[in-house]
Formats: sequence, C-alpha cells, structure tokens
Amino acid sequence: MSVEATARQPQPLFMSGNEAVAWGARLARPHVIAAYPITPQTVVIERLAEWVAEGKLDTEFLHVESEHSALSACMGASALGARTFTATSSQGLLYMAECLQYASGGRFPIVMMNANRALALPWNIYGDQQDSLAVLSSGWIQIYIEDAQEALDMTIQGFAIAEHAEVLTPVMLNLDGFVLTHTYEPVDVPAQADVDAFLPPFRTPSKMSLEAPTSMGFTAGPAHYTEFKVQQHRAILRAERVASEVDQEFGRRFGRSYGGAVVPYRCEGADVVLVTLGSVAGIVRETVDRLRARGVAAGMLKLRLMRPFPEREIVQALSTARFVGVLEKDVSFGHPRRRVL
Amino acid sequence: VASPFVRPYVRPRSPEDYPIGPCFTAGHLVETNASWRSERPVLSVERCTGCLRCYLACPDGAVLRAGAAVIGVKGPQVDHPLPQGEGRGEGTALHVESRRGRGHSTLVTSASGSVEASPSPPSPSPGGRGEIRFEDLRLTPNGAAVRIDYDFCKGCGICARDCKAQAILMISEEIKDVR
Repeated sequence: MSVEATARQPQPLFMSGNEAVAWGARLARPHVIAAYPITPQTVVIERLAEWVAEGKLDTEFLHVESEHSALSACMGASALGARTFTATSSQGLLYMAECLQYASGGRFPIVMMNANRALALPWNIYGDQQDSLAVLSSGWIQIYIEDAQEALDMTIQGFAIAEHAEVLTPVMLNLDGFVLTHTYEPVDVPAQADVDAFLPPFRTPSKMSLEAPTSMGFTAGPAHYTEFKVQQHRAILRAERVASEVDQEFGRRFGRSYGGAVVPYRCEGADVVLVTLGSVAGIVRETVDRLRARGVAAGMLKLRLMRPFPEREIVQALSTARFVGVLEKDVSFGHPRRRVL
Repeated sequence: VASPFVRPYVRPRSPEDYPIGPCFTAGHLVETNASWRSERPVLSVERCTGCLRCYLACPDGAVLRAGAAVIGVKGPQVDHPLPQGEGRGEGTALHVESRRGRGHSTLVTSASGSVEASPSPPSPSPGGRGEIRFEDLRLTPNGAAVRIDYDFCKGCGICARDCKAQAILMISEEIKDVR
C-alpha cells in the first residue's frame, strides 16, 4: 500500500494534545503500532486507527488485548527492525511494568506516549504524574511536554533520540492527562517529506534475518549481567546530549526547538525559583512575570527530561537562588523530604 | 562441514566488549551442550520437502540449513563419533514401518522388534504403509535440506511436531545399533 505523503498544512490545525501526538506518530511512519485504549490517551489510538483504516497511514496496527501485550508486541516488532509506537496511561503503564524493563534492557528504541494520570486507589482518571514517576528507574528516557505543538514535534524527535546509535533506548513522552491531552490548540503540521528527511528509516544493529541469524534476548549470568546494565546506564546518560543535538537539528529544519534537558526562565539572578515540569509550566511562567513586575526576583526551571536526570544543569540554574520550590503532581510515599503541609 | 561450530571463550575485558543489548550474532558458541537429551531427531530425506519449518521452529538453532554459511569464527571441531561405530556421513539407517498419521510412526528394528518412537500411541489412519529410511544427520545426507547439530540439540522434539511431512522422527538415544 502506498500512502500519499501529506504536504505541510497551510495553516495550523486546531487539535488536542492527543491529536498532536497522533500526528507526530503518523509523520514518523512507524511500521507497527500496538496499543490498548485507556482514558485519557484513547484519542491518540483512535486517530491512528482511523488513519490506518482510511489508508492514510501505512502501518501494521495491532489490536492487542492489554498494555502488557501492546508493549510486548512492540518489542517483537522492534527486534525485527521495525519502527514502533505505542501509547498508554496510568494503570496501563503499570500493567506494562515488566515489559518496560524488558524493552529498555533489550535496547529496543520504542516510542511511547504516556498520558499522565492518577493511580488507583481511590480511582481517578485525572492528571497526576504518579504513574510515570513510579517507573522512573525502568530504563526509559522520560520527556515531559508542555503544549500540543511540543507534543507533535517531540513525538518525531523521540524516534530520532531513541534510535540514535549511541542511545538505543526507548522513549516515554509524558503529557498531563486532560490538561494537555484534551486541550485544543493551533498546531503546525510539517510536511511528510521534511519529516522523512529529518528522520531516516530505523536501522537496527541486530535485525532478525535468515542470512545472518541472531540470538535475541539471551541470558546473562552474574558474570556478565552487570556489564549489560552498565552499558544501558551509559547509553541513557548519553541521551541528554543526543536529545539536545536532535532538538537543535529539528530547530534548524522546522524553526521550532525546545531547549535541552532543562529550560530556565528568568533564572539569572533569581532569588526564588520554582522547579517544575509538564503543562503547569505555562502558568508558572506567567506567575514569574507577575512577580518580577512586582519586584520579586522570581524564576522558573522547567525540567524536560527526568531520565536522564540533568543534575548539572539544575545545579547551575539554581546557583543564585535562595529559595527553591518544587512543584510536581506525585508523592514518593515514605520519602522523608515529602512533608505533608 | 561437521558441527559444532564452537570457538574459544574470550573473556570480555570491559562493557564495551559486550553486544549492545542481549541480541547478537547467532552461533557464538563456546561449549557443547547436549547431554540432557533422551531422544534425538532423525530425518527421512525421502519425505523432507525442504520447507525449513524445522529450521525456523528449533528454539536452539540446532537445525542447520544444508550448505548454509556459518556466521562467525569457526573454532576447533569437536570429534563426536556416531554411536556404535556407524560410518560418518552415511547416517544411521533405521528401517521404519510408517503409519501416515500425524506424528505416529513405529520404528522396527531387526534386533529388538518394534519400538514406539512418538510420544502418543500410534493410531490407525488413512494413507499408505511403507518402509521409510530415517537417518541421523551429523553430516548432510544427499538431497537433505537440513541437518541437525547433535551437540546442541536438546531433544525437545519441536521439529518433529512441527514437520508437516512427518519427515522427522524422535527416537530414543538408547537405540543406537540398528540396521
């Protein structure tokens, strides 16, 4: 099946964060999408499934029975050299927990959107970052997104980062549930040809092939296991530099870039800095401006990456601050610094 | 070329010496491992259609394509004489009285009479009866599409179960000297 490449949309399309992710995934031309719908991610999957059904997207769309199966199917396809995409949220992400480590350990460069949503109990479908932060150490690169345009662009960039030869690590794109996934904004949709030029086809180092057979997902005993984990850790650390390079290249080609692992806003000489991540950054930025107008030396430090964790940039950006606040929608139960006010 | 294709174990010196993730060129074998087998697969060249299902199904890569290039460095070959002095390259001839039901064949040897070769009991089924010659496949018999690496075959029998042509039979390792 050949699909007509879409031209750049003459004017921005009005779409939700979810639809922006779907557009980004579509333009990245994944070979395989395997996903299971869950609120508030459902629209991502609906749009992609519609495009496949309408012949607008040439992708093997696997209707799986669970999130565990979704990520497992992506791993299998990725091992064969396919570019793969999936999306989930909350309970679905936790249902994938076993596969998350499997995918990162297998060095399968899958890109997954996660709609940040609260975890049960009590049951709650609304925005909260407890889900992705609960799997912080799963070996995935974690990117937090602020708006719909960034969602589209970062879905494309996500593949470039994940598939980079120095990285080969899966990427999780986090969008705040409802606040970002369901908010409509004007979004520029780039031309397919430009995305193709930015994102060349995925070349896996270990393709399954009859001519050069490989052993996939083998065992490593205690003598070798740690070395594989060291390699994995080094690769995800390298992702901080690679993500920054990918973003700069994207900026050169598309005129939009989002900064590196952290984005300081009016942090120079700031007395008070609020560190945050995700969609709330927009409100914080406005608050910083209001405080500055009133003579308070306020600033904001937005984290775009939680893994790899940009420690050096954070320390540097906060070097002048006397007061630092951290705003995130989660709690690490039992952590002594998480005081209940 | 006789199997196995073992190569000397070289201890990696740093994490950089390891493959990226647990996927790597197959056949990177440093020792043989077949001592747990209680049954071994034997093949009928006559029945084999060369479809390579067994090659794809074998979980250990112990079914080799005849004439396929071997990936990697070929280490010293391990000598593994056939049981009871059978000639290498000629295979061990087994005269099999076959009932053409799926997976059901009865081995008949002149020495010990009937030996049941399949895990399920033979059942009457339509089709012809005849003598089929099955062979050990240490070396590729003439016309065979595959051979089996008995130094790595663990005797699971998946190849025999998967073979649509019933060209593979699992026989007990106790059956050695058969004519």
